[in-house]
Amino acid sequence: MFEGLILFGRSLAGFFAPEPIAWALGASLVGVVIGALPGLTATMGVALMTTLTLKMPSSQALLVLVCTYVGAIYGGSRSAILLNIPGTPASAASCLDGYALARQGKAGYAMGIATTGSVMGTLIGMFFLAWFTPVLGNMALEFGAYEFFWLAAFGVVISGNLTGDDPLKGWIAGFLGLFLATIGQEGVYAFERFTFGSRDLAGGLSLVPALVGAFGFAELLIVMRERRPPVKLDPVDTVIPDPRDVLRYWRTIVRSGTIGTFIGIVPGVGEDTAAWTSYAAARRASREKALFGKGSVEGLMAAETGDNACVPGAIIPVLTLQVPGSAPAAVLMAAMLIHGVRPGPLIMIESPQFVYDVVAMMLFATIGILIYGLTLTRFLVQVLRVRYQVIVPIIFVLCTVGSFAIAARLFDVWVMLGFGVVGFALRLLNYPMAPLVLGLVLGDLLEKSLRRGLVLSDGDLTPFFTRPISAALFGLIVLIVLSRLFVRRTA
Amino acid sequence: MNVDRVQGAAWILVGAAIIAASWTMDRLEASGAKLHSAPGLVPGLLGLVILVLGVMQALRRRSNAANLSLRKGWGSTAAVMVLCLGYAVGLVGRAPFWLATFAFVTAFIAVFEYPARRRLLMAPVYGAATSIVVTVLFEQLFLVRLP
Repeated sequence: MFEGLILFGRSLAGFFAPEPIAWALGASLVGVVIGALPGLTATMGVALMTTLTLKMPSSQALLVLVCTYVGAIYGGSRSAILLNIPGTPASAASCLDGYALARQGKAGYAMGIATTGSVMGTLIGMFFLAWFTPVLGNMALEFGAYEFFWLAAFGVVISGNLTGDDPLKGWIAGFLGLFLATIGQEGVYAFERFTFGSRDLAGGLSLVPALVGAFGFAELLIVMRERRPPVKLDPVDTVIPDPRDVLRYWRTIVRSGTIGTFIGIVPGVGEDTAAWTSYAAARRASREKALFGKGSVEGLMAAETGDNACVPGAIIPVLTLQVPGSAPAAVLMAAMLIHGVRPGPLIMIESPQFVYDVVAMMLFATIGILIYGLTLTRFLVQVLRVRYQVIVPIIFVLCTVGSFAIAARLFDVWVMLGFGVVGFALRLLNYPMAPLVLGLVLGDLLEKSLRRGLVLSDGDLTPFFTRPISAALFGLIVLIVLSRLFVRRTA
Repeated sequence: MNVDRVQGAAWILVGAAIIAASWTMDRLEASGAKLHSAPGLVPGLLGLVILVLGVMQALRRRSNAANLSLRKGWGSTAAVMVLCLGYAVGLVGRAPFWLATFAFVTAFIAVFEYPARRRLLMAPVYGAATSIVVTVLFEQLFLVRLP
């Protein structure tokens, strides 16, 4: 306990200098702006910022990425409240009551509630990040190749199950992602697979350009296809949060924060599910059920607390199991690997300080969103008025340069373009992107674990089903698949 | 036509192609590899899963209402694709980066703002600003090599 506090204090002290603070505030602002613009998601923001921070020291680069991530999830609430359009999918639940409040002339109050909920959610998530990561890290030490194989498969299956509205399409996207991860030289014999003689493909598909394509270029194509009309906004009342709301809704805040964090821990599920689940739980427990959807402060508070608590939650399995809890966390994990940070079961043994560094980064991000929540309303309203015809080409330039910057080769730009076009087509056909990304990220872990396990058991499959954790994960996968296939879904 | 059936058939083909490529892949027996450590094992299994999921999709009955939105917006999508691919494949790496970026941003805004005269006049301003800021930002601040 005290050791954790000392490590956290050391992390805070490490970041307490003008330069990291400036980066943290700048990145939070970038995140808020990206999140506020409908169509541009947190995943896209983190992927773009990953390419921008390649040459930075790892601690500062990850500080920038964490702040962008938190800022983007928070920023989504702005357009949800003002335009009834979620800035990111995570803010979809906030539209229901946020926009209803805005129509009652309480847009500023709604934004204040969103700020309060987001700050409280991140703080609750931070608490669990600091407390639960060492616990899960110790549990993860029990994991071997067999368990990691099922964990990777479980991540893809649960992500396909819970993201989007069609699990079958989610699973197809997830397994497609796993397959794409096998392209290039395999790890045991360096044998080239599916490279068609291309030397560039032999190294495999670079993760960051692929993610920039799937979440950057594909999103731009969707945004330009929809071409929303210019925004007209009403004047905004005060955005200063009322501390009494925290006291009035403390049960909702604690419940939503806990739900959000634990949904974040589930591989590949993400913030939108966290927000909806928190919202539904708040509605069930509320004495003012009738107000939900018509401008309920409690509903908005629950959704915003839930989605922001999910951010630290999604980072917990990244740190302990090397399995991301959400799509932006997958990009963050890729960035950690690029910067030489090795998350996984040994993190609490090899570099416990890093876990508390991430907690400290969350705190800086929270301060950032609190500052911008209170001061930048007018600026964000102006940002929402910027025409997409101007933003889209600029972001595409960043996607191109960012993809090139990873290894200074044009092949990565083509990977970005390829994933952008394929991602766009899959989205049009209602295939969710999160399982595809998770598959890409987890493909290496799945293959290594399966082959290592088979080598250890000399080809015997029994340990995959008889070891307790393996059996439990396998059982969960079977249960999820069967429940989706044979249990009739109710509205 | 049942859209699920078409998509399912496409996934069956993708899965079958992956299985065929994995099955014919060198098993490296000469290097002492056993069947369970053959390079084609994992992609082959993944291809099999994709094929099975494709069969399930092709056989199910489901409403296709969500796919009706596919019919609109193809003009702007085609224009964005041509402009973006023209920039990333045709210009980047061939023309100086600042010039390519200026031309792309200007052309993009001009195409989508046409015929609004004032906004058309602003297109080269945005193009120049983006070109200068991105070049300076990446090369000077982020120390990244530009294409």
